[in-house]
Amino acid sequence: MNITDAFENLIKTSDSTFFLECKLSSINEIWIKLKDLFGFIVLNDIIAKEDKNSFIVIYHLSNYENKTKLFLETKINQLEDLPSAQDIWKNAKYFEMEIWDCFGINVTFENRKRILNSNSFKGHPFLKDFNDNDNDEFSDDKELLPIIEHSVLSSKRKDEDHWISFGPCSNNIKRPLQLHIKTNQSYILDCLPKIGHVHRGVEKIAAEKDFFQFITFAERINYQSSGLGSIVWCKTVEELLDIEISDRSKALRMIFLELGRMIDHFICLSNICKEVSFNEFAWKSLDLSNALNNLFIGFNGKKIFPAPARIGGLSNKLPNGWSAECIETIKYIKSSVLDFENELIRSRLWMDSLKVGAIDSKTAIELGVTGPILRACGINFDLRKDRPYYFYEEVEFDIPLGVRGDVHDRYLVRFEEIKQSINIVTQVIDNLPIEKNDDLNYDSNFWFDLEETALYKTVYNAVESSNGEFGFYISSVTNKKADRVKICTPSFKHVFTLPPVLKGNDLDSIPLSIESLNIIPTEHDR
Amino acid sequence: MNTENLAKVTNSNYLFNWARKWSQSKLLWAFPVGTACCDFSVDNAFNLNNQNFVEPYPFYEDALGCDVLIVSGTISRKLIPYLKDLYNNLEGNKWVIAIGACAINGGPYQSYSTVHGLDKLFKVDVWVPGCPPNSMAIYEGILTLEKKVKASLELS
Repeated sequence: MNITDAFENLIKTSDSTFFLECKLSSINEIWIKLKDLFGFIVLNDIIAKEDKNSFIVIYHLSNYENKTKLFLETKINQLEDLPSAQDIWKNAKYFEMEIWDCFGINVTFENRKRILNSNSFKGHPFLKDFNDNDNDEFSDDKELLPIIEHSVLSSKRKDEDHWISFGPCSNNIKRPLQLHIKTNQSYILDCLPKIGHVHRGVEKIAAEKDFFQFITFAERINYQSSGLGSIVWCKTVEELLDIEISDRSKALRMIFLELGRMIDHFICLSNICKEVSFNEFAWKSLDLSNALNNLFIGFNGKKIFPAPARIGGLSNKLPNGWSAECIETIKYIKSSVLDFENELIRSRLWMDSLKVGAIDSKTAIELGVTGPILRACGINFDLRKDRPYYFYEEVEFDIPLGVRGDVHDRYLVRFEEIKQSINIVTQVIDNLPIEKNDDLNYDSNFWFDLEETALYKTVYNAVESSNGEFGFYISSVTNKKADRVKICTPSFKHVFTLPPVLKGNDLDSIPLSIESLNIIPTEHDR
Repeated sequence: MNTENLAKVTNSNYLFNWARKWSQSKLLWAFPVGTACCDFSVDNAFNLNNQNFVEPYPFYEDALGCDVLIVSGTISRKLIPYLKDLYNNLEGNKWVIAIGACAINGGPYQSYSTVHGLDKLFKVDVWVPGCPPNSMAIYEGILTLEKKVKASLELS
């Protein structure tokens, strides 16, 4: 059966995107139908927004076989209860907790817990009539460990199941992430990740600022991949406003995306090396990432947050001699990467110490994992191939896949992706389109000359970042300002793969597993 | 003079204090608390075999027994109780460096979930501005702290 025949009010917004509106009473049947008959096995996100006295809840689903997307929209009153989708998609639980935390939508009772804010927080911050004055700024509210059931005699024995806590200010995890771990003789039996320690309310800020102002904030969502946030944000806004950018800007943005991907992979690699005490390699790969950062300094003078994109183009013209410098750096990196690999591939210690933290493909799909972690489990899904943007259709590159999905496979996939990125950059820089005079970017005051008019439109746009699908959902009110922005980040899903990844392993493997997942705190907390 | 006589002329408290001050004047131990992007900058400044750095501080595994707390990145309200605990765990003389605009006054993130300034929680000795500050700025901040530490040790 074709999906267009099954639902009457299905709208096809583009080749691979569908939009469906349904009533709350029939939503459960539609979920089951979509998952079982039409293969929408992945829940990417649940987006909520306020609409006068009611809420709109949008389920963002993906089909990895047909490479299609579906947005299922439903309207819900303030008093109505939203049925839980966690029996159908396992990761729905965390998204439901988030929409209860932010909007106060009545989800199932067990999911009415704070996930981003602390437990003593009053009110729901994304509501229009939210008042912060009710809240005490300095509350001494800690996440308590689950109750420990100990008898007096057994409390001294360590071979009994007990709960311990890591983080958020600890030196062994190095991230503001809290882990509650149930352990027995240093084996991990269960793990509860607690997030929200860097929650900065970026999505609320996005609704207050205009599109141009938000570029700086977008850049700071993922601090490891330089240039990623601003490029994706500008790409989304350009789609919203129907702006076509020049071929040269597209090609240059592709180069910046690939450079950012390489930087991120090198940093992740250096963190993995540090955890298994391969310090020489850790420094070497940090050095390589620094060499790539220098290219951004050459472009607009900024190292960590270069923000190379602006709405309608790029922040400045390409400096003279930049492409020659880029080719030189890429050459240096290519030779170093090969040396690197030759030395690591022979090391038995390296291979043995990375055989932890495996995740199987079924669990990965249930939890909505994307990016290198998904590819390390053997699932071939990459937005660059499946929903190509810019010139990714025209360049040649391969998608590396793993088999076992453990730390070693993740390292291999990341390493191979660096080589493919080198490939892409060389191809693009060889065929860089010539600069024309009618390019709508650089120094022109395009954005400031734009008149503000009403525009009610919603847009979702994503790219394949170094961690996975990174996208923005914008629902606008005017052509300068958004009503609701939702940031769809890979790390939010990757944090919750920690329980299956860590289960059955030793306590010593925790830092290594976390580093190999490359969880970025500002991404999952927003 | 044998050890018995020494015990008569000084008390243990004085001796330990003196030993601690002496060690602090020679070498400080730092405990980094990084939350967001600035942590990355601090990591870059300390870990890299960078020519600019003469002697990087040793990072301590545990906050107990550290002298300097390096706080970088956004401080959210959810983090406050843990941060206060950490500060209270430091013994004797302690110093705090706040790195980045977010730790100084909340930076661009003026929202419902952030703390606008680390000095609302405890006394801060050195501020390093920037979003994020570069390695040299962090190094300058550490030099400033060293001067401050020496002055305060001489006074007491």
